[in-house]
Amino acid sequence: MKLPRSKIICKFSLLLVLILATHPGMAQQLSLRIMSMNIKEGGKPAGFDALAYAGCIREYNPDVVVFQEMDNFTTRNGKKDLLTELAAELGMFPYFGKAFTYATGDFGNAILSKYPFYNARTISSRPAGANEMRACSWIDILLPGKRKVRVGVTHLDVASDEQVRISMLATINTQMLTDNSLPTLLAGDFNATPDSETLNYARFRWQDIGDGTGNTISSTNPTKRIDYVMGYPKSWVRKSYQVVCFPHLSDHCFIVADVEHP
Amino acid sequence: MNLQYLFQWMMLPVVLLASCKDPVPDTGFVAPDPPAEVNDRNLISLEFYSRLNDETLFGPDGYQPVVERINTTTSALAYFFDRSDAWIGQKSSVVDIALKTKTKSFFVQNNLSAASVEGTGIIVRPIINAFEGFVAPDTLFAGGCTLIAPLGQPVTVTLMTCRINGKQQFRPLVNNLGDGLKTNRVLIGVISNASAEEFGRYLKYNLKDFRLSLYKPGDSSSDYQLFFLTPLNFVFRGAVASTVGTVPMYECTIEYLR
Repeated sequence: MKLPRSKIICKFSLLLVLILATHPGMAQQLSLRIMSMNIKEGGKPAGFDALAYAGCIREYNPDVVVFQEMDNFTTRNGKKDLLTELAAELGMFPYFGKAFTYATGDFGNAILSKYPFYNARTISSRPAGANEMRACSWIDILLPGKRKVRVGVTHLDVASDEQVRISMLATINTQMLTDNSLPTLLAGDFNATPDSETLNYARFRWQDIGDGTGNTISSTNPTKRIDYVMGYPKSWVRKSYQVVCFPHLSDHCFIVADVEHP
Repeated sequence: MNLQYLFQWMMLPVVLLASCKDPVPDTGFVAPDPPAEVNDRNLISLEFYSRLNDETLFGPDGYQPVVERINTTTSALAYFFDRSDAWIGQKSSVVDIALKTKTKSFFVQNNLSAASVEGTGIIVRPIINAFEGFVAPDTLFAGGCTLIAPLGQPVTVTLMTCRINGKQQFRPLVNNLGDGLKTNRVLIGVISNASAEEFGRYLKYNLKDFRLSLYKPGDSSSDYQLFFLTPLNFVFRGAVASTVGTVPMYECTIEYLR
């Protein structure tokens, strides 16, 4: 029996797709669960107790956690390294990014990754009018599915002048996105609402992955959305996006997002 | 027969002779000798913990002696833990050592896995703004911390590590290092004995402005040896082998040449 040419082509195509899809060298789709936590003053609401935060993180089992307002060996937190305590407790890989010296220690952002990272950077800036130096940190990870991803965290200044936050974002865009071919996430506390000039500026380059989702502050009565997960390039797919509030851990609600990149 | 034709015939033997002459042999890159005298003010000390084989570094007796040493001996700029493997979701030895020594931990993986990851842990004392690395999936992983070495004058140096056990890793390594080794980048790692000689040959013809030093401890039963790939302004000055608890450690000295 002779098969029609169209059937032969179709069978060959299917076979080719099957071979490519199952080839061990082929990268899989990038799927990631990210959690963003502003832990307020180094974790003061929970008495700087790593186990309290670890319990919350474990409940959501994220691939990457980004923290804002992390203390490192400050007198305020009892001279301890809360991030490394969390890393040990959760079996994750830590990276601390310093914004400025505080209380004989350091204050800034931090990242925990379930998988080892092969690059990490921290940049800081203090534009005119800013209250203090602020930082942006990021890591590059090769995921087990062989896809690379860049995940960053920032905490923009709380100054009343929008131009300060816009200037900080401009610095982040330059440093984090130039010569960057990796799918990238930037999460954290932007100290700006979705209708602000800061967010209008952010959306020029970034995709607001949580667009239209709930408010993030305060944790007892959320009335404003100022914490975000942003994606670059604008081709991320939001699979789920939760705003979860734990008043005993922070004045901010946390974000837990499942995202994919084709 | 015109003159031009005659001239061409006369030139032919000359051209043939010239083409038969042996070409100038390409000897590859040869680093100039470093100064014989060591400047004590420009020495960087590193501790490299390794069994120089394919076994996991820390056995069931753990790493408490290592923690005690790091807490009491603070002269090393960085500490490397070859094959301090990690299990995803479980407390890793290098993170725990960092916690107990108030240092910062990093991890350079050797393989890709969602469950257990082989690799080299690094701990350092300062907060690190730049951890630089590169990966060639299934082939090579390298990474390290950029920090300031408190020498005669402060010097920025990136202390990187990787594990080499096959020649398939040579090209991705050199591709990522570039034509010449950056002046502040020092690569310290382990290389299998079977690959060491070929590695030297490969670098000679594919990289410039570098020094490669190999260190093999007296115990020749090791499967691996230490390698030090530095730019010309650094030179490996030696290593002292010892044991911390039951873990073999090499106290390595690198000199910054101004």
